[in-house]
Amino acid sequence: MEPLRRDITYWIAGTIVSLVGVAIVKLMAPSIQGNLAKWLAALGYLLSLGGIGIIAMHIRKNRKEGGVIKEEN
Amino acid sequence: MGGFDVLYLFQGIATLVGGDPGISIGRIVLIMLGLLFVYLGAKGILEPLIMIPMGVGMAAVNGAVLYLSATNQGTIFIDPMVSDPAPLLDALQINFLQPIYTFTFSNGLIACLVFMGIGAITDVGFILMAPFSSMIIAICAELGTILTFPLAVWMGLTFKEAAAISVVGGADGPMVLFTSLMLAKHLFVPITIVAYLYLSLTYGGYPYLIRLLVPKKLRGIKMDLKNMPKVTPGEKIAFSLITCTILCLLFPVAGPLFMSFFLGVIVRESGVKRFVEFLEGPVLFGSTFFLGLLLGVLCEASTILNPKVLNLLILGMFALLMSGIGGIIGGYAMYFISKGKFNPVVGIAGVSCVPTTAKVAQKEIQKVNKHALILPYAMGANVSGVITSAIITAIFCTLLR
Repeated sequence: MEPLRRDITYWIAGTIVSLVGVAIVKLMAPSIQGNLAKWLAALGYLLSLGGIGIIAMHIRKNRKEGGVIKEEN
Repeated sequence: MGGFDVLYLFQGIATLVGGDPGISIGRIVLIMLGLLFVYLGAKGILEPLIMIPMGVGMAAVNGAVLYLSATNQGTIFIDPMVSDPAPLLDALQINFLQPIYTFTFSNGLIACLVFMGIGAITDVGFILMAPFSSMIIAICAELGTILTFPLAVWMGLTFKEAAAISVVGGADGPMVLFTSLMLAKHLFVPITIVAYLYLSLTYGGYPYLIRLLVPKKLRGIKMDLKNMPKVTPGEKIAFSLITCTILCLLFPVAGPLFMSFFLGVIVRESGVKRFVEFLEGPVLFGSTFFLGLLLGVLCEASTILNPKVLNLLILGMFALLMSGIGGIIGGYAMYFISKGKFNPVVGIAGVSCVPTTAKVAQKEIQKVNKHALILPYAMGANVSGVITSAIITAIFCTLLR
């Protein structure tokens, strides 16, 4: 679990971004009328999946820069 | 003995002779088709895990039609149409496969069980090793799903039916089953059979698509495996938990699918050997066996003969073909983004038939260059494809249910 603890900022950031996205989709968008609601919902979905993407991208980036690969070399 | 009628003894033949000619011909065709499926499955041309139980079921159910009353024909295998409580209770006591159908098919449990097993044999670390390429390819490989939906509506299917058949483009059997049960229950038998039949054929058909769309020179590109990062089980578990929770929050209607898949993944990564063995053995193969058998048994002529079946056959093939092309387009996109270092054949693995398409990609590449290994990248695209298909399923179910 060591690498997980080391990258905790990115894990938290990614999770928060995703949850903000969920909040936009489930809470904000339904309370707004018209086209803005659709755009907000789309933004929310993107943020939610983007948050997961942040975590995924960081795991790879971090490993390549200073993690397992460098240690192995 | 004077009034003895031989046809009364052989009721399967009596119903064939005395029934509606269209249905009788349908029964004979389906019996032959069932025998063919068993043969092709046993030969390894079609996927034996599904085709053998399905073929036996098809042949048997279409032979075993009998007189349930003086005017009523049917079988004692299953009654898929019964739903009212009293007749359902009767059916549960008469039809030997009714309990499995009622308690695992009509609520989507069988799809979830298969998905748990798939989760237990899936390594999400492959996505985390190459997340960008995996996601790009998986999105492109949904081209078939995206294009089939409007085409199906144009061909006269309702939105729900169109969504159910277009999910075949995701090439994920449990997903097709889940969507059709949710959105088009009256067509779930033909749609799921079309899906599994075509999925069995991907192993034979996609290599030709690869050879047609990717020149030999590009097929031999060797990819860099030295810089592949190693992902720890803890990271995989944390990633799976977060992804599962976010997806369940966004798409509660597909929550059972997400939970089943990620539960399998987490059990695998947590290393609880007994659970892993249970999920990847009895759960996965048990549910696949009963899925095949019940699909076969549901292919009774009077149930399956539907004018929409021909449309479904065309649309299913179109969806899988376009998804394969879309995947290769994704592979080409990564080839150009990486300035020629990415093998475009990996794109076919975005079609989420785990792990068949990844194996197809590796096999095709090794025919050109024996030293080229792309399987980790292909598996990343493959697993990403499963998650993308689940998201598309969730979007359809949320919007149309």
